[in-house]
Amino acid sequence: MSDERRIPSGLGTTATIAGLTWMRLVRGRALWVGTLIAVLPVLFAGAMRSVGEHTGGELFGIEVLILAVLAPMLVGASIGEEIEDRTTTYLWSRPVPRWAILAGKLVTLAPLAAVLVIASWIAASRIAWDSWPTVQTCVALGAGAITISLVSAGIATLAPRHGMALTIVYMLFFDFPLGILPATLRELSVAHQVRSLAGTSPIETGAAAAAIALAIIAGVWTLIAAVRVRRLEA
Amino acid sequence: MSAPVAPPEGPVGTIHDLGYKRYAGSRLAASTRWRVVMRNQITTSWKTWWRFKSSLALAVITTFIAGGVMFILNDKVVRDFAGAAASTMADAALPKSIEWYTRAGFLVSLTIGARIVSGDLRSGAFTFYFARSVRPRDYVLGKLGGMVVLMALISLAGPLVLAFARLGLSQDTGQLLATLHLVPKAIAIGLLGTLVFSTVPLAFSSLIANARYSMALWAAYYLVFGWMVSLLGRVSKSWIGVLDLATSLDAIALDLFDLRLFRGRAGHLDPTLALISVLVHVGVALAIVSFQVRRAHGSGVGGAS
Amino acid sequence: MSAPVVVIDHCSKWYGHVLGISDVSWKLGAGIVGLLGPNGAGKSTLMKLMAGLLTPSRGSLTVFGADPFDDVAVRRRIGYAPEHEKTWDELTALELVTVMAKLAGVPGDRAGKAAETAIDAMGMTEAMHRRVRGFSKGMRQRTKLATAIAHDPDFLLLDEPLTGVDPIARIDIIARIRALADAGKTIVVSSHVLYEIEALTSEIVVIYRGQVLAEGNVYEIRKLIDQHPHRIRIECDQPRVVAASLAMADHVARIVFERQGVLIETRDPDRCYDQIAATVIDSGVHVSALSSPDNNLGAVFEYLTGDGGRERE
Repeated sequence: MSDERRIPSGLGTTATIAGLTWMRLVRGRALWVGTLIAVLPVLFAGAMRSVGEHTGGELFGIEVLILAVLAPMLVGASIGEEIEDRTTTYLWSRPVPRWAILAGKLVTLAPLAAVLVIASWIAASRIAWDSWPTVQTCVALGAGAITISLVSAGIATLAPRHGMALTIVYMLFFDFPLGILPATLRELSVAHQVRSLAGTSPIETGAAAAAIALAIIAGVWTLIAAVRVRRLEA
Repeated sequence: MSAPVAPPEGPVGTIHDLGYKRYAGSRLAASTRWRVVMRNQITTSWKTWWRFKSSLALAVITTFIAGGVMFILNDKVVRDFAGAAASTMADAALPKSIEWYTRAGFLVSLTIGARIVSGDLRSGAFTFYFARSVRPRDYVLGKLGGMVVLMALISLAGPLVLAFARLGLSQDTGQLLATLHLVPKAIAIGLLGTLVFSTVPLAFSSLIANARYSMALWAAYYLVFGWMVSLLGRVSKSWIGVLDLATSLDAIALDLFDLRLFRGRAGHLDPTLALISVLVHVGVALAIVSFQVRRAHGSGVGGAS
Repeated sequence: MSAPVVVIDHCSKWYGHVLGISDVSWKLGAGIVGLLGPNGAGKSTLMKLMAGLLTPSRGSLTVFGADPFDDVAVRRRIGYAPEHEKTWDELTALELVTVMAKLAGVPGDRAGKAAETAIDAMGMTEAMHRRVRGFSKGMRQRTKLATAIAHDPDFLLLDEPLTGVDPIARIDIIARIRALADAGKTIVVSSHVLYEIEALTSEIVVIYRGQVLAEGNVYEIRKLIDQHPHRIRIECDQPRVVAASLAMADHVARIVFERQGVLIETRDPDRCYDQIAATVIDSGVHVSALSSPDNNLGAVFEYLTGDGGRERE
């Protein structure tokens, strides 16, 4: 086959899709809406400061709650929108592996969710306590953002048209309540693992164990997404 | 003399014109258009399984559990941690269940309410509506009416059933009369919940022409902003906590049914201010929806992209 | 004889309880083929199967000998322009076609040039730096076609490519599609507008209720439709003379006198034309017009689908 008729590699496809996703983000409203949501904890910290109060773990809890909305809005909505608008027909009729299309979206959107929430946390901490937050808490929020993004990707491939809403419902009605259970089941909760990783959980599991748990949860949902996206039909 | 015999009728035949004929019958007044929009909203939402029926199932389960608690633990008295305030389980079940109806209501508001107008804008349904004799107010009224009916099934029906169940547990006429007040109170709190979850997400759905972003904004407002102001109100002991819709509804319910136990975050809220907040939310939401729909109608948007 | 581009063997596809196509067997060779059928007949389903967007529920479908759903490499040779017009509106036409070219395997440094060439081929050069959001329907169609050809595929699937295009642009695009076919590409075009298909090709496949009802040259198919004798209209100064000469012919099914001539219905058009010519010469009839109102795609389509697709001899 001549050079002009080669098949794009998985990495090349991922890079192209990542570029496309970024271009659409910058020109669309997702970035603005995401930033607006990420600013809420900063406003909260400022308001608490103005009434002379210091926030405790509530601020970190609000950041975790932000993740439950932000990551699905970016990832779940992106995948669902492609399927609902049928722009997947352009992508899936190309000679590219489908996992690379998913990877291209995730490498753009998941880090963006992490950056937004970490930036929000840093700004809110500075306002609330006049100090920088610990690296551990930032890493925890970043890991949480990535994990919830992958959960959202998995759910979006299972229920493409309602990925975002289902992920929010999953986080609110399953993950968060599970995370406060006094039982081993709480280990399945992303929110609990994020708090453990940050060292803010009343139930100490250890940061290393929390990191491993997050990696496993992320891995399971990534596998679900990769397997499902291969068989989806346009 | 015999009666004259009528001549036999000859064969008759008719040819019908099957071609298109313009409808020449009576037409409904333009003021009834909103009912068509409302019925359409109800029908399309009812068809969804997990978006509406699952929330309805949650409300039904809540009703059964609360009703079961009322019946089985009827006379069991519960006290607060200080041992002071007390209530029977039968009296506590209804006001405490409002919290769960609120959760079910939020689910429907997120998955259906927050995408109504934005979904219509994006899909081009506006063109279908306003190419006919549908006015912006018919559209708003119809969509609102549809959401009110759906929400009422969740936020109003459940508490009303529990109120009647509580009446049914009365041991004599005196007790029955003494608990009659529960019915109007259940209707009141049910209506408030219905209005909140019908109007406010509708306003969010009209602010941005992308259903996913409007859903995200509504979720962020209700969950994140709500929690924030609730905390802020508690620590600053100010009125700002009433901006949290979930806690405001809870506070109103607990005050209406005079339950002093387990108030949680709602215990810090002034119920009167909470009621004002809820009503202001509803009013502002209606104003936003009306303005946005009129603006979209005037600018001719709504074509499918 | 070159191998067929597409081989469909007893292929069926259903969506839950809804049937898309049913037991379709078909081989597609080179050239342009028009895919016709009423709404819901299964045209888009067939197109999507060939593009690798769907898998058959039963049977098999191969393009260039490979399964387009599973085989990534064969999709390099396919260009698909879907029916819907939704794309990524935030991009300019050039950006959109460039991305599509890259995803189809055109190297990054050449994708831009390939995109420009494709856009130019579709007559969109002036608008290529504008965002797709502001495009008219016709412009979106052209952009869509450009995305399908940017990577120089061998096999083009064009699903309703002329929808919403203005009449002048339609002529232009039809000419460009024919040019692509002349360049050696195999093209399948689906359309509801029969005269557009007629302008493109005389090779058709008619799909009805999920099944292939007819395939091949439209005129050969017409000859096979015995239930509807061919109609020949003769406008002349002595219609009764013409009618009299044909009245005793066994191939003539009906003769109808019209205002300016006569309409003959015949089961053997070739013999009928011979007889008409002989009569005109022998009797000195002056013929002002001679036409066959139903020897066209529209009539074939109507006869085939209007009769409910009953099996013909």
